[in-house]
Amino acid sequence: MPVRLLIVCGSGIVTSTILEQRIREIAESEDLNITIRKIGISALNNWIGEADLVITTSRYIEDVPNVRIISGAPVISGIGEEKFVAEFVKVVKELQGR
Amino acid sequence: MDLLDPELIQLNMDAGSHEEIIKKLAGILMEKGYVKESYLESVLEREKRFPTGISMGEVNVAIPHTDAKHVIKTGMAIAILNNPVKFNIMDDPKNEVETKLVFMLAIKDPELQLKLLGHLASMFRNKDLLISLKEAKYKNDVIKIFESINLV
Repeated sequence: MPVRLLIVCGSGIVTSTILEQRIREIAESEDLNITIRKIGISALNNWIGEADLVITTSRYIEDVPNVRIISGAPVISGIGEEKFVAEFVKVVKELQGR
Repeated sequence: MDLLDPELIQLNMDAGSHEEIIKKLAGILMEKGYVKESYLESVLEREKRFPTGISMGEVNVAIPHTDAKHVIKTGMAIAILNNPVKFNIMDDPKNEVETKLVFMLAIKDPELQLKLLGHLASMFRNKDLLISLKEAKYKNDVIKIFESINLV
């Protein structure tokens, strides 16, 4: 089963698109089995039930049971990106191993 | 693809607040036919709820933008300010960053603008490039910087 990612930003246009591109690169180089849905934050409630992992550039997401949330801001600024990649890969592999 | 329309490059700008620079850039985008009249209000409103300041330590940037329905055609207005203005931080909205670099995006279809968005992201990681952009005095300097990352 692929790990279902929800990529979320303010309007689902700019930073989520940048995140999506980077995450596809990471997934390919790490051989991760994922699906991606990219949304604006206003659509979060519609899709959260179908996600295993949320990656967001925004701070407006409250904790949701059973769904891990990782900040994707390092991908945009480049600061702390290695740490982001390490955490992202670790979490996806954990979720894959369920 | 006229992603870097020289008329949308604004050097030596003065603004007292992020609202003021957003108004100036939106005015230019509208005048040149890139966005609808509704764009300005929508960007200002969105900036309140989902701020677009990006904190990068040495050189911060802001990327105000809004939904595609307010956009006529894709473009990017760039402001290089004489003095920094404050934007709230995207992933830490209670705090602000000061920036002299504002990239105002008019994105019609993000899937068709992957290249632009990808280049923007790689530009943000390149501190030297951002510093030279911040110091740019002529439009040609800005165009050359973008040529160096194959954006134009």
